[in-house]
Order: sequence, then structure tokens, then C-alpha cells
Amino acid sequence: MMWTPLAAYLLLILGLLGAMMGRITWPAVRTAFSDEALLAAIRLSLETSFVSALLSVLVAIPAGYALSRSRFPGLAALDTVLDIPIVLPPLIIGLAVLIFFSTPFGRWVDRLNGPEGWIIYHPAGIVLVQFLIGAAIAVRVVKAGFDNVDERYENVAWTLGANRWQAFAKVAAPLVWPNVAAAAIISWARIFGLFGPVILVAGTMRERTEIMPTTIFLEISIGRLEVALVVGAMMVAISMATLIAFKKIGGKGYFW
Amino acid sequence: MVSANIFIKRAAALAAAFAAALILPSCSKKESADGTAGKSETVMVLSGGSMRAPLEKLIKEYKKVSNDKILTSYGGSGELCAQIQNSGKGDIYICHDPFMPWAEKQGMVDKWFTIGHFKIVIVVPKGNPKHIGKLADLAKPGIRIGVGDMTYSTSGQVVKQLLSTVPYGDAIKKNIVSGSKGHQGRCSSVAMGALDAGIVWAPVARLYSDKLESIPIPEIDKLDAITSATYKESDVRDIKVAAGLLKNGADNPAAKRFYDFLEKQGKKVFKEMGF
Repeated sequence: MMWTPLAAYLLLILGLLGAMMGRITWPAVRTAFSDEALLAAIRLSLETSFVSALLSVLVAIPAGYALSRSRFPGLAALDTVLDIPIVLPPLIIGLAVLIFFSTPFGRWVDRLNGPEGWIIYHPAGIVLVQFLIGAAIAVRVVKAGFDNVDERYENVAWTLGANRWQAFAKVAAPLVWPNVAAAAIISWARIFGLFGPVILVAGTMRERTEIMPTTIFLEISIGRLEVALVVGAMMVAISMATLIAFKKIGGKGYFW
Repeated sequence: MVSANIFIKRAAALAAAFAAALILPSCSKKESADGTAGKSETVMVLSGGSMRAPLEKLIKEYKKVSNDKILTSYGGSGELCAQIQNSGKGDIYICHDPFMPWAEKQGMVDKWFTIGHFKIVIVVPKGNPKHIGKLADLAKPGIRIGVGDMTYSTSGQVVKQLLSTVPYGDAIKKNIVSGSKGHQGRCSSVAMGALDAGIVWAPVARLYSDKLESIPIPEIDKLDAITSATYKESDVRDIKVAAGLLKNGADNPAAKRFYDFLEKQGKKVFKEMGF
């Protein structure tokens, strides 16, 4: 009885995957793998999404702790601001980034290295957009972890001579490890397939800002649906491998 | 409860996984992803997605005679216009009507020329299972049609004007189940059977010639000339594709070189590919 909804949902997902795989042809697989640009897109997808997820988690741990342990007027408003990147359509986030970098200050930041710039139409732009969305999710998940850790543990550590940093690093942080792992999983999963805001900020430049979702868009643009599906299938495989690895590292409950 | 040591070990494992993911793919990398080749040798071309096939062919030709690096970015002609305006980047812009004259009015373009033309056609799946041979056949009950958005897309505006002039226009409108941007998406939907017919740019339909059949729409030539597609004016009987040298690229010698090449060779290649 309890398993029926789960089985139905799994069947739905597997049905979709099966339909996708059924359209893939062997020549399409060969075409996809002989394309240097696709290999570059796989590299860039992995690089940007991992860097963004890592940055998200690195920000989320102290930010989640600070939000969980602080009490000051306006905290609720501040906390809500952090939800904005989760709630907003990703395309609006991309547009906002583009508009920010059209201001004199934004243009100065983008062109610190010369007229070519380093954010708009560059991989750093992809990371920026992914981080904006990934960090909001990661902060939310890590904060929930710290909320569930009784502050008395840290108070006890203080009474035993630990300073605030030691109480955080040696007592509170280890207790939220499952949340940190979950934050990495959820934020990476959210940003790996991100497309709309990425093309607005970084374009679709082959071998420069082309990530796997961009490849799918580009392949469809020249009518090569089967090659687009091969890239989609590769994204499924990479996602599954990465998420399983994350879950293994993340701790109890999965696969053992 | 997880002890501090296990926490540190797991954090290290996660960091190592991140590092491996970053370092391993980079080992086989031929070239830096930052693409910071000298400005004089790099040209950034922003092009409407429907123009990708002829542009890629032209770039291939250009590589035989030049060492300049051509970076291309594709998107909707209108979206790219917004990108150029906000980013202040890009050397060459390739788009369909009505965006080039508009971009010129905004002071974004140094010079431009018409590189090709768009016509709309009806596409149906290979074998034409619903026996659609002309525009009037789209009025048959039960045909599922996809067209461009009638407010936001140029082709949708053309279809809107077309349907207002033919007696069976209302019957066709009743059969429209999808009004979206993106000709490739519409072609894919027809190819996969989600739609019985679509109205798309002819050169895009050509890219799907292994899966789709194209049916011309001669009624288009009888239309009044001017529409206000996507809030800017253009001639629906002859939607032009334009290539322009952007103000940003006007001081880039490589951009000028590629623009000159497009001016000399572009029209021929675009024509060959149905533009």
C-alpha cells in the first residue's frame, strides 16, 4: 500500500527515461562523441557546477550557523532575502546579473582584466549565476541543520574552555554533516542542468561557455534531436554517478 | 552522532572529490577555457539560433583563409539584442527582421547588410499522414497546429496577419494548440508527433528534412507589406536576415575582416541553405 505511490512515481520517471533512450541511435552516439566541442562542454559543465556547489557549501556553513544562532531585529527580513534566489524564476536572476553588469560599477568589475572582461560571456559568469541559486538552497539546508542542534552542546563546550570557533568547529559543525552533504547534493543537482540564466549571462560560445544544457539547445537548433538526446542521456548518467558519490560521502541511509 | 574526526575525514573526502572533478578533466584540456586570445584575433559573433547552420559553414570556410578565432553565441534574435545593449560586448550581430534596423536606431550598430531572407512554410511529419497540401488544409477539424507566439515572435505576427486575410483563418486559429517561440522546438514537436503541423521559417524546416516535409505558403505574397512584429515594423512578405558590425566591434580589425568576408561570401551560402 505504502509502496504504490513510490512505484507509480518511479515508473513515471523510468518511462520517461526509457522513451528518451529509445530514440537514441548509434550514429548519433558516434556523432556526439566525435565532437570536440561536446567534450569541452562536459568538462565545463563539471567544472562550473562543482566549483559553484563547493562555493555554495563553503558560504552556507558559516552563513547557516550565523543565521541559526543570531537574534537581532530584522533577522526575519534578512532570512527572507536569502529565499529570493530560490523563489525567483532563474531567467530573472540571469537578467538581473546582466543588468547589474551594464551599470558603470558592474562594467568596471567585469573589465578589471581589460576590455575582453572576465564575467559576461565567460565561464566565471556561469559560476556566478549557478552560485547565486545554489548558495541560497545550501544556506537554507545547512541552517535547518544548525536549528536542530541544541545550543547547550556549544554552551557546555564553552564551559569546558573551548572558544566560539572551537565550539563551532568541533561540536556544532560535525553534528550538521548530513545537512552539509544534503546541501551539496541539492545545490549541485539544481545547478547542473541550469540553462536559461546561463545563456543570458554567458552566451552559448562553443568551447568557451558551452555547457551540456547549451549543447542540447545547440543540437536542437540544427535539427539533430538524437544527438541532443545523447547529451541528455549523458547528463542523466553523470547526475546519477555524482549524486551516488555525494550520498556515499554524505553518510547514513543510502546504498548500505 | 558524527565525531569531529569523521567529520573532518568526510569533509576532506568531499573536497578531494571536488578537486578530482576539477583537475582530471583539465588534464586533457587543449586550451584554456577563458578564451583570452588577443583581442585583435578574436571575433565575437552573436547570432539568431535559426542562422546557425549557414554561419557554421561560413566560419569553416573562413578558417581556411584566416587565423582569427571566431566565437559564436546563439539565441533568439531579440534576446541577443538585449544582451548586446546590456553587456556592451559582441563584434558582429546576425538577426532577422525587425531587430537590425531597431538596433541601428539605438546606436548599437556601425554598419549592416542583408545576408538572407526568411519565408514561412508549413511543416508536417514525413509521409504527410494528415494529407496537408496547402494552407487551407490546416482548417480541417482536429488538426493540431503549432505557430510562433502572435505577440512576441516575428513569425507569429506574420501568421496572425496571414490568418486575418484568408476566409478560413478563424478555422485555422481554432486548431492552433501551441503558440511558442522557437522554430526548432516546433519542428521537434511535429517530428515527434506532438503536433500535426507547424508553421516555421523555411531554412529551419530544411534542417529537419529527414523527418519533416515542407509545404510553401504562396498566400504570404498577397499580404499588405507592413506589420509591427514584436513592436517594431517589418515587411512580412520579405523578412530579412541581416549581419551587422556592432559599435563594440568597430575598432576590432579582426571583426572588420570577418564582416568583410561575410559581405563577400555570406549571401551565397545563406541562399544555398534556403535563406
